[in-house]
Amino acid sequence: METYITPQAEMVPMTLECNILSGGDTQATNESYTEETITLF
Amino acid sequence: MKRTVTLLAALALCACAQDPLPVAPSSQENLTPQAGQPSADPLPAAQDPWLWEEITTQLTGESVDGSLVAAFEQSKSTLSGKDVVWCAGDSYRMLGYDAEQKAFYTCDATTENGGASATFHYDRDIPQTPCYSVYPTATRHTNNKDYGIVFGIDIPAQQTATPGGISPGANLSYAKTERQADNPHFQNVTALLKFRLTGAAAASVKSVTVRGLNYIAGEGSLLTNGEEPAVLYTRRFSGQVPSRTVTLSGDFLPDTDYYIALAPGAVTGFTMVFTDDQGRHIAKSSQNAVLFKRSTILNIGAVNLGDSFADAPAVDTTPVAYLTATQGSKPFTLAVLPDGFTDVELSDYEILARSALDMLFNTQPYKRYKEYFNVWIMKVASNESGATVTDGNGNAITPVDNYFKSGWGDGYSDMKADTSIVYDYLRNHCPDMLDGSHKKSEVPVLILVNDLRYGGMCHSYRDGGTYCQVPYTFSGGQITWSYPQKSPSSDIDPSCDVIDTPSAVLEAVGKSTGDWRNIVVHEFGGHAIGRLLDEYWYEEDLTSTLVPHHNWAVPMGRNISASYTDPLWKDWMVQDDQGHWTASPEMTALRAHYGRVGMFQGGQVSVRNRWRSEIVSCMIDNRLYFSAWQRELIARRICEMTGVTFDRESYLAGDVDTADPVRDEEASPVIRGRKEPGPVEMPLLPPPVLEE
Repeated sequence: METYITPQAEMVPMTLECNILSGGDTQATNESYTEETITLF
Repeated sequence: MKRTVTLLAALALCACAQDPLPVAPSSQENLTPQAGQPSADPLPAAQDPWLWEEITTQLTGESVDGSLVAAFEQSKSTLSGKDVVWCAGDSYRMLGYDAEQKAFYTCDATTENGGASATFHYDRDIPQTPCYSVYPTATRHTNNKDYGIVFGIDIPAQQTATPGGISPGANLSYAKTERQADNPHFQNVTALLKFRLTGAAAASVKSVTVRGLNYIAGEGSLLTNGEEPAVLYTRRFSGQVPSRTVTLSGDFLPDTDYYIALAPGAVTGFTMVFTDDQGRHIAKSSQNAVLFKRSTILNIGAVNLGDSFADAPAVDTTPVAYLTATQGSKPFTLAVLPDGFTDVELSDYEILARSALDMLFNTQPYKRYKEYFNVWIMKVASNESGATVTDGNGNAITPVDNYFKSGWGDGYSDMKADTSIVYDYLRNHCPDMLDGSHKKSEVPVLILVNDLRYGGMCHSYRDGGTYCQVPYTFSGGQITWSYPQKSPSSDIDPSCDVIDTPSAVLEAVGKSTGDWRNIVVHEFGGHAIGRLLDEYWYEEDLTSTLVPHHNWAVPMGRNISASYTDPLWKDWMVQDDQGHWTASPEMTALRAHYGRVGMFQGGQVSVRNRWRSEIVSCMIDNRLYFSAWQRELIARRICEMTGVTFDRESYLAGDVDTADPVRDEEASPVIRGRKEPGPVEMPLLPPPVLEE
């Protein structure tokens, strides 16, 4: 009786290029948090 | 249980432009649980269907396992006010697809100096394709038709108290760039709880545990298919159960800000437990769900712990009246008991008990007759959380010191409690037994078990006594139950063949989806209070021509007939010249749904030689629908227990809410605005234990 609802496999089209980089650097930044205040207890 | 899927080369037909990105093949067979088989995994095999099919990173040849702990130890991005700042030595993991190599790659990038904007360096050759980056790392990933790239992530359930900052490795973040060389801007994945401790007792705090009734940490999935990353705990990459708690440990400075990272979402049963160096607790709970938003600090301000842990008030174990009867000459008393809930978890229990009772008393006929009930939510703490794991035959494998000795094993059929403890407790604490107005045989008992395994069992006795047990299965996760896949070929002939259930029948009855509370409605509302038997069946036959429990002092199973010619519900039907029963036109004219009544072969776990009154009901697949005849039986039982004369005419006049929500109402499955994996489908639970 056990069967499972599972997504069916399907190709996901995506354009890909073939340029290869031999290592490198990135400059990474972060999103800031926002703040909310509540009274809980 | 890890399952690895090797990419098929055929999935990538072209090495360059317009190349399809391979997805993990769907493998329904692989996801089928092996119920009843022992498993070395933390979860029984039957709980595996949440696992994603995984894709390995063939290009790098690296193991995708094992690096998570090291990454957490190395990474320590922290807060500066509300800003997240990289620290020297931080690294993140990149994932992309190399069409030439026809494989996914992973690559770690590391910064030497850190800072709000930090330079990260990577060493390997990688293509300029869309790049998915996870900080501090992702152990596993897949590409799914419906959800795109999905990562396995871990929000630490054990975090380190860091004054003014986040525990190292707890601030998960995610970025996507269209080309690997593009600079990533990371989005925060988690939410943060901010608090500070005041009162003299704050100085001795050694840990702060945040707890909810849903999963808030541990191994889960990171969905990337929306504008914002989302954490999902209903599908994951390992059999490790996620966590309903996060504990922040260390020394706490009074009046100093601390942060706990947890998964975004509404947390019901939100509780904070503060523990001192002697193991003493102070617990504070929120009556309402607390909403944690992604990338948002929820500041609850100062938490005053008072002067001393020794002054903390004891947990209140006074019974709570959920319902108090206002109709009938005597209340129909029900008792709900907790098992496997420690003192600080009793607030969870009360929320769960109310939630389950709400569902029961919103299901007909209980909704209509709720004014005839006294319902007591009893409160007693266990020494340990959870329930004993047995070998399936009642022998403890992993004992748990819970109050009523609840335990069970694979297959759930040995699920039981110690009835002497149950009834001793009720005799001494249940108000309606203490005052002598109710005997134990007059008080159906529901034991809610603080255990996340699947299960549910009812024990019923000849004299009317009954108790059932239902665990908090899958932390409230959704469950689907299937209609029996084999059926008798005839509703009349008990010697007919057994065939595959016709697809038209499966389509007509629909799919029942719910959660552990539906099991409460089935076990407590159906078996225990209603004294109904199961109406599902296995591929086996009962050959007797009687249902012996019909002759018990308090009959059981009157929803089942062992005779086609003389069913108990013949008032609902008419018989043609050949003796075939169909719904009564007179009854159908009264309510269209009464046209569903008839004689359907299969019930009481027997595929043939037992009949039920409708094709589907709660007593088959736990849907929130008792059939017309079941509702009448339950109403009759309520009247009998409350000293009210059952009048069928007025009963029928008031039986107006006759719809089955599965077949007659629109479903609205949208969760958090995006499509998410469907509920797990589980086998039907074993029949009740009927004890003389």
